[in-house]
Amino acid sequence: MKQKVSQNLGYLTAKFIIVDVIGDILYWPIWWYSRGLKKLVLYIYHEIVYFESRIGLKMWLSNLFKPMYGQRDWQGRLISFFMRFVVLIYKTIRFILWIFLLFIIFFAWILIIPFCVYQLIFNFWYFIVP
Amino acid sequence: MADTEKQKNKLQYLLCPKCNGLGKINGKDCFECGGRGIGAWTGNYLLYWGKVINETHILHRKFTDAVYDTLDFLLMIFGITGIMIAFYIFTQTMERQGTSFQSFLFWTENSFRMFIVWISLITDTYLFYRFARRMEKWPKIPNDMRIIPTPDKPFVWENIRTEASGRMFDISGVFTLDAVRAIEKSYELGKKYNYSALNPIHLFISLLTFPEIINIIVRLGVPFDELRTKLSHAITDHSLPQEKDVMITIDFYKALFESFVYAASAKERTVYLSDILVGVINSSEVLSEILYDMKVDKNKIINVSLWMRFQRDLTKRIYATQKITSLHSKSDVNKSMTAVATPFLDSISEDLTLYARARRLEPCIGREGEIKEIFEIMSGGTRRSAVLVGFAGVGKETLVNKIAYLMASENVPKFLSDKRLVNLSIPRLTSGTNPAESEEKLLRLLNEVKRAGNIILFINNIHQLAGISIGSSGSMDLASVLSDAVAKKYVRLIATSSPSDYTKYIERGSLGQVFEKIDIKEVKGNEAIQILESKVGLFEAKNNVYFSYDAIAKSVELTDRYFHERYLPEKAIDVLDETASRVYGQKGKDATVTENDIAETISLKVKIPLSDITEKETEKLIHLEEKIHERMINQEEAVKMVSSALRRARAEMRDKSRPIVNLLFLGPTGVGKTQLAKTVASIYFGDEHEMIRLDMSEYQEKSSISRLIGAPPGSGDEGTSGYLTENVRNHPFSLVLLDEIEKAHPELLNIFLQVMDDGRLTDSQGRTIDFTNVILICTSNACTSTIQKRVEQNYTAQQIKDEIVAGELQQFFRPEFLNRYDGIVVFKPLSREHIRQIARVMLRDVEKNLEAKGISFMATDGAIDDLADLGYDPKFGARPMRRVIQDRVDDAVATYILEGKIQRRDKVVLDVGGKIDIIKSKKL
Repeated sequence: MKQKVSQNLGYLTAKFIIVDVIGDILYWPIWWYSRGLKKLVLYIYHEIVYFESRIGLKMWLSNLFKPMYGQRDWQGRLISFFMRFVVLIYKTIRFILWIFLLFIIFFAWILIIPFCVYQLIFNFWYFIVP
Repeated sequence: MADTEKQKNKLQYLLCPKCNGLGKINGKDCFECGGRGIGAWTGNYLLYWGKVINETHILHRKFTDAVYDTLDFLLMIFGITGIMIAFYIFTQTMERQGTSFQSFLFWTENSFRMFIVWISLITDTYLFYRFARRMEKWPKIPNDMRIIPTPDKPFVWENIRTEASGRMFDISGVFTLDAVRAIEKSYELGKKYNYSALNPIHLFISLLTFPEIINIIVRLGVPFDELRTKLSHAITDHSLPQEKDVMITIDFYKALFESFVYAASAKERTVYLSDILVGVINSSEVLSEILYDMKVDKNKIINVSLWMRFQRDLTKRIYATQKITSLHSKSDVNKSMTAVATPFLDSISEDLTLYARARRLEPCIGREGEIKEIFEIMSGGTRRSAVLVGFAGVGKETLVNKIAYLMASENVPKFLSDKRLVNLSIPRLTSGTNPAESEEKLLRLLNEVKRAGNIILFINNIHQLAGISIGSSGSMDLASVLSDAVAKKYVRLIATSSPSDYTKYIERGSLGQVFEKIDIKEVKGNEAIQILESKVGLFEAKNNVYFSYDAIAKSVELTDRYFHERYLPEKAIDVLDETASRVYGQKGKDATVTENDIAETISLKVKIPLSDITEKETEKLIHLEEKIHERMINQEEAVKMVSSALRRARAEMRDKSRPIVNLLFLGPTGVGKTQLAKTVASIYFGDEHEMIRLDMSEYQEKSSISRLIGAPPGSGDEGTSGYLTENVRNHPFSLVLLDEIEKAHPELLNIFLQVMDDGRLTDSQGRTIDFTNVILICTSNACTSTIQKRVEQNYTAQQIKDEIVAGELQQFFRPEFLNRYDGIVVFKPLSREHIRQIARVMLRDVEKNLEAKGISFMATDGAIDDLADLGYDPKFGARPMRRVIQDRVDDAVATYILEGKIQRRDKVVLDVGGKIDIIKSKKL
């Protein structure tokens, strides 16, 4: 009985090491550029949509000619337009910066593994042949 | 209906024909089923349990878990080390080269330590991958699994390969880690204690080691020690020491399938421990018997696990709203800045959307239908404002809170997006000003609202606006000003009012024409329980106690039954709050609030015994007849009727929609009709005067109705409450005695028809008075001469009753009135022996009075005979007895006491002829 259990356990452990541990490591780069990448793209998309609705960029654009605070006289309209224009530029810059940051994350995701591998080889070479 | 429903949701189990569902033949996996043994056909999928449960596999799983945990830990340490090394290199470079762009190129260094940094960075990505993968692999019950269709035709094992191909589903994959651990633990328990076979009961025991399940058991109010004893009795029945492996029974697997089915039908994504609890009880009769014995059934467990799940999800929900509410404007101006600031409005109102954004409002459960209706009304049509009409406490304001939450999270129709919900307080608008100023303020405010364009007004109790007018009545009032603005669609409004105020002030006034009415109904039953479940957390935290599920259910049940002037859920919430602080005061920290505690709180309020019957009370109830007879001679039938009615009432074995009992006592005067009522009041309600007594001879006029139930509106005494209704309202658990009922005006008897039939009466102010906890006793002297005649002719009581009910009594009462009595009792005239006993009982009062003065009293038999002769009158029964005792005994003794002839410790003896002897005590 005991014998059988240990045999079984040996088989299960071997299977675990080969399939689960090694297989997992082998799947890692594949996942990184397939499912992982897809997840990242979706995440970036949702973040952009969310950020847009948070700062209300589209809403400000559509209200560009609407007077602020209900000031409907021509002076009010004029000041509002310039004010809205300035705010819109500020919001657009914020938006672009955010997108830029997200794109950095995107490229970092793509490049990090090859870059690290390259650096490893590079360093490895130097510390073998100093 | 329920049965067919059950049938529909039943799984069809399939046992492997080769191994009979055991999965093993001679210790080896069955070739036919691959060791799976049993499957369950849902009509769409063939469920099976794929994880092997044996020592090897459990050991292996523990081993792999340990390996993974260690690996994760090491990787994390290595990752952090890499970052630290990188930082170290960076600071070193900075020291060498100063703050320049060059020092940011530290990573271009070629060295061993940089080699480590790169490896650690790559490890970090691997670690990230591992966590992401684990999230991906997180078990999920597929969507199409959620509704289990009817197995329309029997499924047979032979067809598995053809019909179930591609529709096999391994349920073991969707059990949470804890759930799998519980299953493995039950196996380990079986191994440890040498059980030959593993049953659902073992799984239940293993579940009891998890805090989540312990919590549920505590909430169910199950005492752990009792449960443990019962379980150990149940287990010893099938515990056999055996060398071989523990066999997993078919019932055990069925429990797992049942858990899965329950989780799927409850629309969960995974099978939690609480689902296994339900599954285990579903598939083990022994266990459900044990729990049933402890007042727990499947439905209760489901409700409690729902409650626990609600608490678990609460954190998730709060997190979700946190992100969403950041979409809404932080200030009083909308996001597009087109709105105009409203400084005046802000000074007399509160911005509910801002409160909701900060999550400061009480959350609201349910009410989706009403909210949809409100949105529909507000979105278009001629009337764009809604008034929520409902009684105080049904949750009108909480519903508005929910709208505020929806607006804050921008989860609303377009016309409400980027708008503010502002609560206008009428007292702040009108206080300290005269009507003209209030009107001016209101106009100014409406003007602001109109110009701002992003405001939805909420006015609580809008009827308060009606009637505040400038000139004489009938001139323009505040309500007209508001309704004018609403009619012109300057403002959108949500208002609340109570039904009576709505009818009185709004419906026919100017406001009634601009508002669409929405009735907010009182929540009942399960819905109310769920609302309370969402609130108890607060009281638990405040008072350091825990509520059992029964306590919550009981609070809904009892408040619904006894608090007729208030409404759910508020009335039950108040009871819970009050009980929590009382229980903390009595039992201290971490005590559990039980259903009995709730019953006690309500008992104190309504003065009706509701809590568990104590031993003392049981004793009293069982020996009620004897107790009554200590003070009441003869009339066994009547005594028995009253006693058993009281017992039925206390054990809740009666029709709860009628009075406890309606009795009619017939008989000549002085035979004990009123005395019986008094005795019951004194024994059961604590005092002879604890009864509501009406001498119906005082109610001979039709107009005396108003003295019973209060003066009707419009009469001179409007607002005066009735003697009967007011007393019963204040003492709902009492004895109502209607003396000489035949003398009352016939119209009055009609009122009692309703009381006797429905157990309620509406008073002149429109309040419903509950008579269901009342003992109603009517006495009557009608038919006295017939009764006396028949007694002389030796008729039995039953014969007399039959005769008069069928004939003479109908002259006094209508048949439908007589039909409503639970019992009509004929009190027979008293015999000489009865009179002697009555004399003894009455002398006991004299004895008691003297005893208080330290004097003892005794009456000889001759004296008793004397009293019986004098105190009995064939016409008046035993009524003269009291006067005789007064004249003969009380007066004489009083004189002796005043003269100083009787001292403490003396003995007074009453002898024949009213002679009083005093036996002097020994001198000290």
